[in-house]
Amino acid sequence: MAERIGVYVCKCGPNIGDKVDVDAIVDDVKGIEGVATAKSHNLLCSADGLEFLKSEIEGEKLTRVVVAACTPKMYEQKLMRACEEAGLNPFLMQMTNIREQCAWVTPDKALATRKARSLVMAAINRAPLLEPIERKEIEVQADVLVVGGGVAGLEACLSLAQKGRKVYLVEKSPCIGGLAARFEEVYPTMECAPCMIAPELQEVLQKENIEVFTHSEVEETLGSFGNFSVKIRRKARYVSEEACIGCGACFEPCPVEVSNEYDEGLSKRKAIYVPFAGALPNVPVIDKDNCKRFKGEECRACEQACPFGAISFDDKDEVIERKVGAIILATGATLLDPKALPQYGYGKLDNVVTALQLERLNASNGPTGGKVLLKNGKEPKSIAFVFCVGRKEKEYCSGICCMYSIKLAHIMREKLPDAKLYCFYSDICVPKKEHQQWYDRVVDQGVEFIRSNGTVAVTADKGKLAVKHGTDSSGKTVSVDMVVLAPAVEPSSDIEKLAGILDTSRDDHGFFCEEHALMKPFATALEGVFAVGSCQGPKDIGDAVAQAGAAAGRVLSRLVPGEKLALEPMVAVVDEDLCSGCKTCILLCPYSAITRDKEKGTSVVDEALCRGCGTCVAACPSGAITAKQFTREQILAEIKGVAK
Amino acid sequence: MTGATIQAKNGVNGAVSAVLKSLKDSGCVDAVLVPTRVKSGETFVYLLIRNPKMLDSCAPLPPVMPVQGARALQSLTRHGKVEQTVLCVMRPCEVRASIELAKRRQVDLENVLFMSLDCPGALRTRDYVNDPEALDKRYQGILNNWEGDGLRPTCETCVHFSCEDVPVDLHVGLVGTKEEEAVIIGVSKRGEELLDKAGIECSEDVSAWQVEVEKARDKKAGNRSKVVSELKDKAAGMDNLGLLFADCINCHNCMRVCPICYCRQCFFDSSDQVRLRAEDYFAKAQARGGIRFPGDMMQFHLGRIYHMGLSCVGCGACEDGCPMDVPVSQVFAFAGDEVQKTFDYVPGRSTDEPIPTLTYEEDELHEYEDA
Repeated sequence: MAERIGVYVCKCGPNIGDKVDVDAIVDDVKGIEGVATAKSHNLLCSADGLEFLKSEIEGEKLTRVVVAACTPKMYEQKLMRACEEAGLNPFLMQMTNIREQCAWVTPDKALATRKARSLVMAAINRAPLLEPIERKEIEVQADVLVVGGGVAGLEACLSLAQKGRKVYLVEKSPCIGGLAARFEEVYPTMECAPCMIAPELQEVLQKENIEVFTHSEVEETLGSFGNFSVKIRRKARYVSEEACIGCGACFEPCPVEVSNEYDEGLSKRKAIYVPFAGALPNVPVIDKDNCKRFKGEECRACEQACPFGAISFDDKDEVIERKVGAIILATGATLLDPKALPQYGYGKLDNVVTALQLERLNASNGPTGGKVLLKNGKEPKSIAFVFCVGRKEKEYCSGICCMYSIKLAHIMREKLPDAKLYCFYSDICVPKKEHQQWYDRVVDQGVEFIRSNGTVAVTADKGKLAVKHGTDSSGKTVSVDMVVLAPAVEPSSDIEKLAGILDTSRDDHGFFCEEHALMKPFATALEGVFAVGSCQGPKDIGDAVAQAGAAAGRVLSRLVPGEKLALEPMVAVVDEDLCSGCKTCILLCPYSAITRDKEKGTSVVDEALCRGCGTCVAACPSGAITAKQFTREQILAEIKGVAK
Repeated sequence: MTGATIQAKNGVNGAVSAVLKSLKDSGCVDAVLVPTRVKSGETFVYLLIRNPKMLDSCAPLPPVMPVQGARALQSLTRHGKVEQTVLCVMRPCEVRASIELAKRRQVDLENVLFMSLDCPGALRTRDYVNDPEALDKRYQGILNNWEGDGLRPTCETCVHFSCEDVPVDLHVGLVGTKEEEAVIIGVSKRGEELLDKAGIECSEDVSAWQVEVEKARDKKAGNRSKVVSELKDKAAGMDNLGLLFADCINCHNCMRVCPICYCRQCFFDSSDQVRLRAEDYFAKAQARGGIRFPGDMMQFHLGRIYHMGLSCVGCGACEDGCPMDVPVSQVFAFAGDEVQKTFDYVPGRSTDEPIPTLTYEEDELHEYEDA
């Protein structure tokens, strides 16, 4: 049966009407084979317009519709719905853009008309080749995976769990709480950080619908929004979380001592340890790389000391699979290693520390019980804070260093009232409503601010440290006991691996890319995958929590249990007879939607995962894959139409 | 590197066939896939040999390459791995093509071992079938002196004629060895074990051979850069390229003999995909004044270069199979060199080396951005 094509050219008010001779185009296409009717309309997307379209489809018994109007991104869905309501499969409508691509960009009316005519001809030529597509819907999974148990991850977990969602929290370290759990006081409230976080930690650990995997990593994610399948590797802890009561009897007899990374290397820990006093869950972990037993020696000191038989050297890593609908990444950040910038003497000179090290020295659960001490055990009489360490090299302002350095200076002023305190800064960045006051306050407290513009160099000076600043050779020097560096904030080390697993992009600085810096700062370009907190860019606690809440809200509103998710209708289809099974498409598919049927040796597209991007279609050397609605014949017909 | 001298009084083929027999007898090889002369004498085919007696008549280094070995191995493993150990005796380019096919899942290398030989190149199959006797003699001369007339042009420019950058288990060195002698070398660990089990002790220093290989390679590399630079002008632009392929009769033989062209059905053979309707041909003819038929000739060759250029091992099978003497292989070598250089990729070098176009790299090819 010959197709009956209806061609409708929209004037979009004056938008197209004034710039393109719409009626000339309509007259021109009327005689073309297959075109049953061609009309113009003042505004097709209006209620009138949609009714007009519906009555045309029904009245003219159309089998294909061509709409020449604005970009399909605006009203294609609306027009498709109108077709559907008139009984025409919506995929039998071909839209072409003569507003953005003609009227708005070509001032010469004759030329704009010519171009618009070409595009309409292309659409008419393509229309008979369109095929009806049935929409498919699938059940969604409303559970959520949260990666990273810092403040942002905790907030996301709790917001989701409060609404009854099942949440899986994966944390790579043995305890949750992230960096903030290791601070003593936090700005701007100057409240006790462990006291602030502990109730949240307890709630996360105890809430029934939150499953916490500490000492674990995400190993694989497959699928897409609404239907992810994730593999979590729960690394062997060698201590049973059920049997252990956290008495700590196992630490003392352990003969191994290594540097404690949770105290920034300022203390020693055993091969069986909890990261710091008060870490939750309060269950130790055996550090396999350093434990004598795992190096082949016959040591069972901890096992013998444990009164509850909680230690098992036979523990194995477990790979756990979970189905989730969305993934919230909250893997946080770390500080640039200042060893990369030798002018600061970090790693070579005693008493040059990072801000995180000072946080630990200041923490009551830290290596010195909260006493700020020099390497020789004495209290410092003078401290220099150096801001912006690595800002020039990183080419971004980390945004939080000024304020936390000011906070630390304030704490030092109270702890060491007689100490001389200097702050070497390049620019002071204290933008929030409380921050400026803190700056003013520490200035009043006698902390001396010196603008060094990144020229600071630290050298040893007769048992003290000489901080030189200024560009010329006559640069001034201040002699201090301790130097505290505020290095640039950078994404934590495992972000690269995670980005690879999820196939999500990162910005030039290595942080996860947001979908839109202003409108969607918490979402990644991958639907259903969110990046919150400092893994998306340096942030303080408040900002990280706010962002996590926003992402959780988005998940709650978009992924509703019981509601179905419409699948992408325009998926790729494999012709099994032509497929050689070379796996080219499998390696290239950005959505991991293609697998190999082992028996047939051919590729199979999972319609639930395919987003119809067409990468496989272009890459298949055998031409065995086609994309629905973008077949070779359709595209060729369109090109030929342009040339008519 | 060490090896063992083997006597080649009855020619290379006799010497290698003796080694193959002792490998088969030692029980570590279940079958040998090796070229063998057909009974009528005028050409060679691959035989999968299980009866050791049949190894007597095998020809591990035949003067011609009518069937690319990778194609033979592909047929053998089309449905997955072989359960028994097969030793494939091939020219280096055939081994390399097998590796490329394995990366594309068209060959399964499990339980497959490779033996290669220093290859002076091959004669044109068409010349050979006309006068096998005379060309056998000529090839013997080429083997003795490592040069001579009548080699296929691609072979004259081949730098991968020995075992460097070719992941073989065993290799037979011929360049510069004494007449009636060759060296056998266990290249991989498995290769060493095989020789050990077969009672062939490899303790001789082979550096003299290695020096000769280097010399021969320098010479071939010189040939290659000369040919490539000449071709650069000849192949520049669509018009010139059209002239190079002008004699093509669209028989698609080059695709059928190419070891890398693995599609079950070539896109260009599924006629409806590429053939236009008469009215479209008329429109084209109108625009250009006249068009050539069949119409998809250039598209076919460009499509093949685009699909296979990166994996082209320069075996020359396409050119050997061409009835019209189109320099297909040389054009491929030229295009392949460029794209392989871009990705620092040597086809067939290692199964661990992923095919660059199938590997996502965040940080690469910036020189092509926003050009």
